[in-house]
Amino acid sequence: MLRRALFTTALASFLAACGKTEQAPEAELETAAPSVGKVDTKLAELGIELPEAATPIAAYTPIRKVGNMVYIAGQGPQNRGVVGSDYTTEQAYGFARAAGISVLSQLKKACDGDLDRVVQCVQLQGIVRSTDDFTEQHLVINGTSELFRDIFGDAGLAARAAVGTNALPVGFACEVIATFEIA
Amino acid sequence: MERRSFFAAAGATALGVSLLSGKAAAQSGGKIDAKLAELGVEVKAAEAPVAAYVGWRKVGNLVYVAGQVPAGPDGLVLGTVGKDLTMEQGKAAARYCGINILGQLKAACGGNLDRVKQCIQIQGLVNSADDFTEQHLVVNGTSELFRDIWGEPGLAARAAVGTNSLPLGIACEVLAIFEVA
Repeated sequence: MLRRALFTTALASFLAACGKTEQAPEAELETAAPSVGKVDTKLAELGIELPEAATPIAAYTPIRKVGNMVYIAGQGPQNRGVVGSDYTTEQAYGFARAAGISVLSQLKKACDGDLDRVVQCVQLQGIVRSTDDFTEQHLVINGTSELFRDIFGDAGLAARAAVGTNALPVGFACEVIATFEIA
Repeated sequence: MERRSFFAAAGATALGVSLLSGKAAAQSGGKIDAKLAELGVEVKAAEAPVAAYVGWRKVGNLVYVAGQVPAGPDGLVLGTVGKDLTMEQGKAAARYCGINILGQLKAACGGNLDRVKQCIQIQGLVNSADDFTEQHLVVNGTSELFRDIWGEPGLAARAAVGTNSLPLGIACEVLAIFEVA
């Protein structure tokens, strides 16, 4: 809100410097704020409501931007446990989808609320907390990949890696790390 | 059950098992192609993706290659290093992952591997016994291949780690990022 106000002020100064009068009244700028983009419409269609972006649980930042790249910190689902003993592949697929929704919440924040700025998902790393003999991590992480594909189309597919591990922070059943290109 | 088998089919492709059925890449006769021939490395063309993944993504001059499996001439190398497989067998598997990466990279370069400037990052994951501690030597299978091809620029800021399990039971999985011209 403060940022928007600053921008509006800056814009006004800029326009004044250019010798023009400000065309858009503040009220109009304010009503334009909660715009519903194409991706928002798609999310509504899929019945997905993005939660508030999760706050970090340790000494890290959930989002980093470098040029047009957005790096999103590892996101986990609410579910704790080991896939292959506590959970089936299908259950874990749902957890990976939930982790993907958390990624989207962070991404939306990184895009200043406008998910239409997303150009493509570049890289996706999915880590599944697994029993030693569980070998379907790739099917679990499809939960994230297929969510992104359903939302962004082919651009939502990433150069992906799905792997297993014996342990994850706070007992998460999986964790997903993603990198996006945005406009 | 039906859903499961669909996932299985999609997943196997998603892992890039394309090397098994890939067609031989068209010979463009570049410097790197000559080097590969010298080393006796045959790079297969990456197949078009059909599931929830892509083999590579480009952003500006960076190419991100998806995690590649150790698909060799005899199929996938499966097993746990330090138990089912020796370090040397694991290293040979990591070399197959590297060759598979080259197939994706070549596709990303429009067939011309001479466009590769450097390997930026490699992450190698080794399916390991709890007491196995030579993951770095296993992933040398990929790193030394790239060094033999490109010299020093083929070496990457690398991480080699162990894990208790990998998709399909493969011995290792390697992902990489390259800078291209």
